[in-house]
Order: sequence, then structure tokens, then C-alpha cells
Amino acid sequence: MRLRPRSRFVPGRSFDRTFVVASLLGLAYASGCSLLYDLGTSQCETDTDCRLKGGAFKDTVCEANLCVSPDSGTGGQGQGGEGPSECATNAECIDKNFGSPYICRSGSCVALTQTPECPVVLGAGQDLKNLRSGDPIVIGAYSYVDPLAPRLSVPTLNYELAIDEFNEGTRGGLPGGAGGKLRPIVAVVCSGTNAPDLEVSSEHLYENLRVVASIASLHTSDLVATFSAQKASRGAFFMSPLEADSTLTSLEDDGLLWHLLASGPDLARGFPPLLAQTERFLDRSKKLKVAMIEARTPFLSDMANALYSSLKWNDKTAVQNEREGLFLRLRTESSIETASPDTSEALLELLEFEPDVIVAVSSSEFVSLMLDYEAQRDGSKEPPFYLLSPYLFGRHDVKETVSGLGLREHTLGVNFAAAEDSTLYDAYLSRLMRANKAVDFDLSGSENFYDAAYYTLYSIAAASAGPLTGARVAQGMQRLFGGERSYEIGPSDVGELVALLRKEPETRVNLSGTMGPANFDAETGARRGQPSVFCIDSSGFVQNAMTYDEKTGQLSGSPPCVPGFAP
Amino acid sequence: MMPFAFRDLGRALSLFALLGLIEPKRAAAEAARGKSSAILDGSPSARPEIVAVIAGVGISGMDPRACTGTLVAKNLVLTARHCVSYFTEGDFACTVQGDIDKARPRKPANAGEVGLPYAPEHIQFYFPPGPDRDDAPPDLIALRVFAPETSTICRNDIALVEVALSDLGRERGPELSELEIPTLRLRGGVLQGEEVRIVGYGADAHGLNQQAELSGTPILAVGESEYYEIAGQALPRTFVLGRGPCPGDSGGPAFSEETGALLGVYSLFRGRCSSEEARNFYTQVAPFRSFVEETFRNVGQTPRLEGQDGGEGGDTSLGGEGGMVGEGSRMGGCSISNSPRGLYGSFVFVMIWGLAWVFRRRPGGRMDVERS
Repeated sequence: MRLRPRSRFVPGRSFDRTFVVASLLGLAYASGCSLLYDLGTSQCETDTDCRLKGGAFKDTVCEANLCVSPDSGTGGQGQGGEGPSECATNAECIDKNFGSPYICRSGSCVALTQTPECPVVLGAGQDLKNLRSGDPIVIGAYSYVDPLAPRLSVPTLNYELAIDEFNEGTRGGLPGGAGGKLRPIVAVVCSGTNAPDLEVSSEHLYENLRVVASIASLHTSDLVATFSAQKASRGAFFMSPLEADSTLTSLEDDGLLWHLLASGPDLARGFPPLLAQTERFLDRSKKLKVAMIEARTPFLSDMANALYSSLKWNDKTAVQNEREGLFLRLRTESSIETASPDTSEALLELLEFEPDVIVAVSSSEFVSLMLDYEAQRDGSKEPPFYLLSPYLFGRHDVKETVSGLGLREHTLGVNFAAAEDSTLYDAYLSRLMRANKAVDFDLSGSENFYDAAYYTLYSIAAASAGPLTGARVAQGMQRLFGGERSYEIGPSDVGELVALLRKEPETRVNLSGTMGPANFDAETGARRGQPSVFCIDSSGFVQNAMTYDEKTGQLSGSPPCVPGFAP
Repeated sequence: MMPFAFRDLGRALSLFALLGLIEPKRAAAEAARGKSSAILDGSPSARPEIVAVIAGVGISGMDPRACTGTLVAKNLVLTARHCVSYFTEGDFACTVQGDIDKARPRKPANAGEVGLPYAPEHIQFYFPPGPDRDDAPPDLIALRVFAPETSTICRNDIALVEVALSDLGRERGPELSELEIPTLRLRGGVLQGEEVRIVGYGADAHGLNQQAELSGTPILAVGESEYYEIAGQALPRTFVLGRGPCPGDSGGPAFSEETGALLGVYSLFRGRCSSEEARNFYTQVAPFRSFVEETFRNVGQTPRLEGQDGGEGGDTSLGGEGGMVGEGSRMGGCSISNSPRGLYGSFVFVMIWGLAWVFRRRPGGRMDVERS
């Protein structure tokens, strides 16, 4: 196993909570579709309701409570509609709009971008070749969008690489477009951070552009709101490159919502053996006092709840230790949910409790708490041993704080394990860096975005015949794991795998990504993740410093930053 | 997504730091050669309808940029899109169809890409002679920015900004009703060889803004548009001039010598702007007629069209006169079919420093500009 600093986990950031659920989204665009049967009453709640009607409704989708023929996520066919058509081809629309990315839908020109919410288009090719000459499948994507350089962010560059590789690997797109044209994948990227106006962007993606698949890098509450707002009318497939939590996995999603990263409880399995080893390592004569700090955000709360019932030390459970005054559970606001989280009460309680071990199930607000605690605690005593959450992995401020306080030998953490075989990851990272030579920020450790894009693209390729719908894409996703034949994410397998998925509609494959095998839970849509232990050395974060054995529930390995810690 | 936000902020800051390192050298070099005006060899002028644009004001980590704009209605300034948007300078190439050439290396990674328009509060306007110090209050404040979609300076580098007089502008500025609002060529393209008069604010060797203009500059090449179907001579919907405009003149107008109509706004240059081989690209107004007319409607105005010499055009919301009267004279209208395409693979823009100027504060509060 190679050791290398990388994170596939993307912690949240502070931002204002301004999103208002777009409850009326479904009403706006029914007129753009071919209405089959209009009684003016509710025909459906979901696409399934339409399919169950059979006959002419067999291939319809539910939009605004009506079963309509989908014309979803495509451009290029300028037919239908009443009155004179504005366009017949995408190229006409592009030329009419000063060379900007437009598609022709139902005789009308539709802009792919929406300023400022959705300013970036990926996969359109040089001079918009894929829009002009192809019959593109338009998908949505949420990412970090910098107003100065909207395309330049780690998630977007990963999406771009995957889409470009896929379009190239299919020699211009999936087959089956109008007039025998190929169907390249084109993604419209919207802002998902820094108080994004998700009401506007989701209306643009799911109503204006009628996308049926999205790569959605959004925080839990934003993801829930965006997914729920369009579910009834559009029923799009969502692939989140980020972590799953109980809020997301318990959502009524009809199998449309998937997650590249594991859930909190899955990851929490790494902490009990880590705490047990820490107890042995510290070898204190007195009983060990443990404080667990939980930042209030769904993923971390899931993890903290799992730990509360699974952690053991002093040969006792957390509950038993708590009764003896040897365990303190603290809750703070999270920097993900609050711009200026208040940790002052937690600080006072920590100073009073004087723990031997601090389990920081925290987000970035923990950095200031750690600084304050170390500044104010009794300096004559040994510093506590810190066990950090995945949200603190890879952060520059965490590294600087831990190093600056001289606590590298007192700090370990749990994160998602890297793939055991790094061959695929190494090749991908090399391609990503080659494609973005002049980028001056770190691109490593972001493979979850790349894999998420690829799983979305292959899900589209694996969708069953007929009009493309979110439900069909979700069914396509189910064909990408649990099969016998193995394929790998990346450019080399694209042509062969797409051909196979189209030729053999019943075949399932096993598609491994840069993060490892595709071990998704079809019930929850979450990936089954393995924890691993990280530490911090002088050069940065060391991932997979200890690995977790699924069978024994134990850790193995020796973290290089904490001498003598090995089991 | 916190780490990426921080990384990107770092990138943005380092980018501007880079610009900061390079600018003074160039400024000094230009000064040493005795360049006294951004419009090279131009004469001082003080046309009140041509305003100095300072954009990016008050954005953390960014130096404001200076450009030029033209009042094309009493509440509407025409300028370049990159002047009123986030924009990354550097090495890049444009294809003849107006896209970034993705096959060529770029430095920095997003060189030539246009970001989002600035919020109006970050854009300020000044009547001649321009701001007298770097924190001078504006004469005109921005209300709304209108721009056709683009993600690159290689196409559609044009914008209209709705403006209103500030208290100061009302006090010291000209009577808006007395301004000579220029006519626009909206019904026809430009012709190669047609002579134009260009105007811009720049900076002299001492870093002071001044408005200057240069007459009799011939159009060397015309880009493809609905009025001119030959591709490859210039970027789409642009025309090309030789030596004349320089950084700080960005967004500045080019007027027809014959009719006085505004034909285009200064977008970017290839080569060194001070060299005889410099090629300066102006975004034509006419191909953007639908955008221009819609924007005028949005602000309750009608454009004055080329050929309208009287007081037509005006404030429709206030019952103003005229507006879309006649066709105007079809200056330069040109339609050639079956034309050869792709005379050039792409246009390479190396170190597009200074489509604008960068303001720097110095003790004493004097506005000081250096070439970016």
C-alpha cells in the first residue's frame, strides 16, 4: 500500500442559508412538452404513475402532474410547437446569439448558460462543435463557481476531464441522436456554494433545459431541496460526489439519488479501534477522560451518534464512562451551517473537563477551538490526543495549526480509505494535471468528482431504450455494479463499455473507479466506504497511515507521524 | 467545498500579485519611450459624452481597472464587456470563430476567459478629465449591466451599463440634455479601408488619465458577421485597426469619420500596442443590434441611428421623440457569399496586459495609474 496525501472527501464551507425551496418549479414548463392527455387534473405524482397507465402513456414522464412525452436534455430537433419556429438546428441558435452556447428545442432557441447562476458549459468542444453538429445530451452539474474564473475549480475541472474523455472515447457521443447524429454529453455547470441562488439554477437546469441527470456537488440541505423541488416534475437522476448522510439516504428518492462517498456510520467504524489503540499508546496510570465534540451537521451528527454507541475505553461504553464523569459530549455549531459558529461554551467545558483524548467530530470551526483550548489549558499537563473527523482532512489551516502547536505526534484522524491499488488513480491524476498544466492549485485528492462524472455518463449510456428519463438513467446506474465483467473508469474502456451497454441491455458490469470498486448500496444509493487513519507530518497529510480490516474490525499499520503508535 | 474555495481565492490573489509584479516594468518602459497618451499620437480631447470607466472598485484583493465608455443615451454607457466583468489577462489564442483555442497553451490557465459581470456598485464613471484621484467619487453610478453571453474575450466583448448621475455629477458634470449623444451604426457593417476616429482615456507617462483622440485611422480588416461573410480576417463581429489605441482605451469608441456614427468599442490587441505592427480589435456594434435595441428598451430609451442628425432618439419612458427612425444610411453594409474561410487558424494574443489600467494608491491621494 502506498502512502500518499489525498482526500476524496470534500468538507463543507460556511455560507449563508438563503435557499428557498422552489415549490412552484413544476408549473412553468409543461407547455413545452407534447401534452398527451389534459384533463386539467392531476394525472401523476411520479413517472411510475404514468408508466402504469400503459398504452400511449408507456413512455411518458410526469411533469407538473401531467403525463407528457419527454424531450429531455436534448437539443437539435426544432420541431413541434405552434406558430413559426425560431430555429431548426442548434447552429442557427448559436449564430443568432453571437456564437453563444444555445440549443434549439421545439423550435425555440434556449440558452445553455444563465448568468450568474450557471455560467459554464463543458463538453461543447472547440467552437461549440458538439452543439453545432451533434444532438447533445445536456446534463446539469453543481460546483464551486468563482466569479473571476467560473470554469476554474477542482470539481469543474474533474467534470470537464471526464466529459471530454467520454465524448472522445465514444468518437463524438452516444449513438441514437436525431437524424443519425451522435449524442455528445454537454454539461451546464451551476454554482452550488457561497449562498447560491438554487431556485434560479434549478429552474434553469430542470425546467428550461429539462436535464434528466446531474452531478450535484451540494451540501445536504441544498441537495435535498434541489432534488425534491424537481423530483415530481422532472424526476432527474442525481449523482452526488460527496458523502451520504441519514437525511439523504432516508429521502424518498425512487432510486434517483446516488452518492460517491460513504455514510457517517460507515466511516465511524474506524474510530473505536483507533481510540482503543490510543488508550494503549497513552498508557496512563489513571482512567482515560474522553471528550467528543460534535458539530451540528447531518453527516457529523450521524457519525457522532454511531460513536456514542460504539466507542469503548476504560473497558466501559461511552454511556458508562459518562456516568463516571469520564466522558463529555459537546455540541457546537458547524461552519458548514453557520458563518460564524460559536464554540465558546464548548471551550469552557473542555477547559473544565481536561480530557486526555478529544474526538473532534467537527468541521473547520474546530481549528479555532483547538487554538483557544491549547492557549488556555493548563500548560503543565500533557496535551490531549486529538482524533479528527474527515472534514478536517486535507485542510491547510488544520495542518498549520497542528504543526504550529507541536501536536503532530498527538494527532490522528479518520477519513475515507484510498483505493488499495492506486494505478487507476495515478493515471487519472496524471491526465488531469496534463490537461490543466497552468492551473496553480492542487488537483490531487479530488477523484470523487471525476468518478461521479463518469458514473453519471455511463448511467446515461446504460439507460434503457426510449426517451431519456431520470428513471432510465437510474436504472442504468444499477447496471454498473454487481456484474461479472470488470471495467475501469478512464478513457481506455469508454468505447468498449459503451458498446457493450448498448448492445446487451440486460448485462451488468462491475465498473471500478479511481476510488476503487463500485460497491454501492442499491437501497440507499450510498457507497460502502472503508475508513482509514490519517496523520500529519511535516509535508502534510498522510492518508492510509493505518488501514481498517473489514473482517476483524481492527486497524493495521504504523502511522509515520506518531512513533510507537502501531498496534 | 471549503478547500477549493480557499485554493481558488489563493489563485486569484496570486494572479493579481503576478500582474502587480509585471506592470511597473512595462509602465517604466513605456514612459522611457516617451509615450504620452494611451491613444498613441492622439490629440487631447474632452468630449463629455465619452467617460472614464473605473471598474472592480471595492472588490477585495483586486485592483480596479480603468477603461473608456461612451454615453449612447443619457442613461446608458457603451463599453467593452471585459471592462465591467471579471477577466483574466495573459497568453491565449482565439480561434477564427471566436472561441479560446483550447489546443494552445495558456498562461494563466484561464487566460482570455471572461467571468461574471461586476455588480453595479463596483463600477464608476467620470466625465472628462476623469477622476483626479484614486478615491474620487463618481460622476455617474452604475445601475445595471447588460451584456451578451460570453465566457471569453474572443467574442462579444461589448456591454451596456445603465447609469444615473450622482450628486457630484449633477453638480459638476455637463447637462445631459446638452450632450452630443452619438449615433450608432446598427443597420450595417463596416468596410475595410473605412476611416475612423478613435477616442480613449489612458494615462500619460506620469500616470495621469487624459482623454485623447486620433483621426483618420483606417480599418485594416473586418471579422465575420451578418454583414460580412468572410471569416478569418478578424475575430467574429470585430474590425481591426493598426497602431493607435492602448491599454486604458478599452471600451473606447471608434467613430466613422464620414458620418460620426459609433461603429465599435475597443476590445483587445495583438502584439505590443505601441509597435507599428500592433493590431487592435474593436467589437462592432451593428451585429449586436438586437441586444442593443433590447437594452435601450429596457432602460426606456431609443438609440440614435446613423443618419439621424436631428434630435431623434430619446427617452421613451418620458415620451421622448423619435427613436427607430428609418434605416439609417447603410454604411459599409457588405454581403459576400461563398467566401473563403479560415485564412488564419487562430489569433494569438500574447500577454494581453492592459486592456485596462490598474490604479494604485500612493501617499497624498493622487490617482496614479500604471500599465497593466
